[in-house]
Amino acid sequence: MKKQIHLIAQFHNIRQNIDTGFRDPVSIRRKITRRSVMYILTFFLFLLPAFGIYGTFTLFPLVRLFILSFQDWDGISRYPKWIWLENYKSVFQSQDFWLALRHNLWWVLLALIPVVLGLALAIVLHQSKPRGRNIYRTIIFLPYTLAIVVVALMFQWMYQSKTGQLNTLLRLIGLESLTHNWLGDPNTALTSLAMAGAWGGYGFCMVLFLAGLSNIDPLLYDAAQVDGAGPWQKFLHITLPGLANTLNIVILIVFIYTMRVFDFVFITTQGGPIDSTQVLATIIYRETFKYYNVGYGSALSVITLLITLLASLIYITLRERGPK
Amino acid sequence: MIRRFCATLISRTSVYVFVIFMSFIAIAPIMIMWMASLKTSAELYINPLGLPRYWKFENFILAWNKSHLSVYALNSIKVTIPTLVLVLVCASLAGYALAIFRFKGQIIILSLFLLGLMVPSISIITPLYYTMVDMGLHDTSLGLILVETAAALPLSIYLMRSSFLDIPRELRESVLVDGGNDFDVFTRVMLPLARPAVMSVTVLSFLQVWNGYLFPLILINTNELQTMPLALSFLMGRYQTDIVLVIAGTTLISFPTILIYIILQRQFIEGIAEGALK
Repeated sequence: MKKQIHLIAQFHNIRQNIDTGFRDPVSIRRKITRRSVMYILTFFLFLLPAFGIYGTFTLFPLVRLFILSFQDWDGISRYPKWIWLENYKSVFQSQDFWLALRHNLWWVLLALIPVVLGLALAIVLHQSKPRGRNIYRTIIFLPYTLAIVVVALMFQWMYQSKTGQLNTLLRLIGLESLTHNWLGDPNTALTSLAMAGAWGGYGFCMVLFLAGLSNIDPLLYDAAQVDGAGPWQKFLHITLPGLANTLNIVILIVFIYTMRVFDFVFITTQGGPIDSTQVLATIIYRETFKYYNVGYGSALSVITLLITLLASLIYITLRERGPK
Repeated sequence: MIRRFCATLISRTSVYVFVIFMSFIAIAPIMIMWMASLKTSAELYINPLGLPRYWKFENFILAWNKSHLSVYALNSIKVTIPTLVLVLVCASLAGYALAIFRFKGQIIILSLFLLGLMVPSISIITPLYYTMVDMGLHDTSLGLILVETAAALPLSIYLMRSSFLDIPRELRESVLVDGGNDFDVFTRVMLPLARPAVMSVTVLSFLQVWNGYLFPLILINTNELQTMPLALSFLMGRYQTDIVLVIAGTTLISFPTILIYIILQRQFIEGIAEGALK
C-alpha cells in the first residue's frame, strides 16, 4: 500500500518535471534503466546468431545426451524406457570399455614421443638458429595440415606386409627379420597407429613450443651468459621454467585429442584385428550406429566426456592465465 | 682453441643432422605417396619404394574421372565456404558482445561457450544424429554446414573475444560520442583491428571443415552429397584391386591444402599456435 502511494507520488513528480522541464534524480534513474535495457538488448542482438546455432547443434544435443544415457532405446521405437543408471552399470561391467580405455591410455603414453621431439626441435631451431630454419619449420609442420584420411590411408599402404614401403625399406637395409604385418598383427596394430599419429603430431607440438619460446625474454640468456652458465644450465633454469605453461598446455591437448581419437582407427583397422585397436570413440560408434544400443552408447559418451572434462578445465584455466 | 672449435663444429653438425633428419621423416611419406601415384599397379607391386620407371600422369585423370572426384570436391567446397562465412560472422559478433558488454550474468553465457571447447564431438554425435533426424536436417548439406559451424564456434568466439579485449575501450566510446552505434564500432573500428584473429579463425575452421570426417560420416548418407574425405575412404573399399587409383585420388585431395599451406604458411602456423595457446 505504501509502495503504491510512493509510485503515484513519483508519477506526479515526473508529470510535473515534464511540464517544467526540470529533471530530478528519479527521472535520471529511469533514463539509466532504459539505457541499460538497450545495452543488454544490443548484447543479445550481437550474440543471437552464434547462440542460435551453437545452442541448437551443441547445447541441446548435450542435454539430450544425458537424457538418452538414462534410457533404453533402439533409436526407432516411440517410447524409450527409462532405466536410469543401468546403462552406466553395464558400461563399467563390460570388458570392452576397460579394454578401450587401456588402449586410449597407451596411445596417450606413445603420444608423448611427438611432444618430446617437438620440444627438442623447437629448442634447437630457436637457439642454434640453423640456416634456413623457416624452411625446416614449414616442412616439419606440413604433415599436420593433411587430412587425417590422407594420413591414415598413406600409413595403411606403407604398413602393408608384402608391398608396404616400410617392410621394403627394412628388407633393403638388411633387417628382414623385423618385417611385419604391422596393422594385421594384434600385438603391433595399436602402436603402429599411434606412430602414424605421432608423425602427424610432432610438427604441431614444435610450432606450439616455438610460440612459447618466443615469449621468453632473450635478455635472460644474455644475463646467464655473463654469469657463466653453460647451455645445460640455461636450459634447466631459463628455457624449461619459461616453457612450463606451454608444456602443460601441450600435454593436456595431446591427452584430450588422444582420448577422442576416432578417424584414424575407423579408417584403417575399424577396431580390429580382434579388438586390438578398439578405442572409446570406436565403441561409441559401434554401439550407437551399428548395434543401435543408443542408451548404452550415450552412457559411454558421457563417460568419455567426463574423462576429458577435467583435463579440459585445467587447459582452459592455463590458457586464460596466458604465457608467463 | 682447436678443441673448442671442434666442439662447436660437432654440436653445429649434430643440430643440422637432427633437424634435417626430422624434416626428412616429415616429408618422406608424402614423397613416397606422390611417387606411388605415378606408377602402374604392377610396378607398385615390384618396386614400392623407388622412383617410378614411367611417370604415369594419366593416373590422376583416371582417378578424377573414374571416381567422380569432381562431384565430391564440389560438395566439399559447397560445405566449406558457407561454413567459413557463418563462423566468421557469428563468432566476430559474439566475440564483440562478450568482450565489450559487461553485466552480471554475462559470465554464464561465456561459460556456456567455453563448455563447447570441452565437449568432444564423438560424445555428442549420438544425440546430434537423432536431433538432425527430428529436424529433417539429416542428410542435407545445410545440416552439415550448421553442425560444422556450431563445432567451430567455441574456439572461434574465444579467439575473437580475446583479440577484441586487447583493443582499447576508449575507441568504442569515441565512436558512441560521435553518434555511432555499436554496429558502427564493430564494423568500422573493431573488426579491422582484429584482422590477425580473423585470419586464425579462418585457417582453423578451414582445416576443421575441409578435413572433417566424423560429421559427414554420420550426418550424410546420400553418396551424391558426400564430401571428399569420406569419398576417399569409400574408394579405398571399392577399388581395393586398383590401389594406384586410390593413391592418385589421395594425392589429388591433399594438393589444395598443401598449396594453400605453402602460400599462407605464416598465417597457418601462427593461426594454429594462437588457436591452441592464446
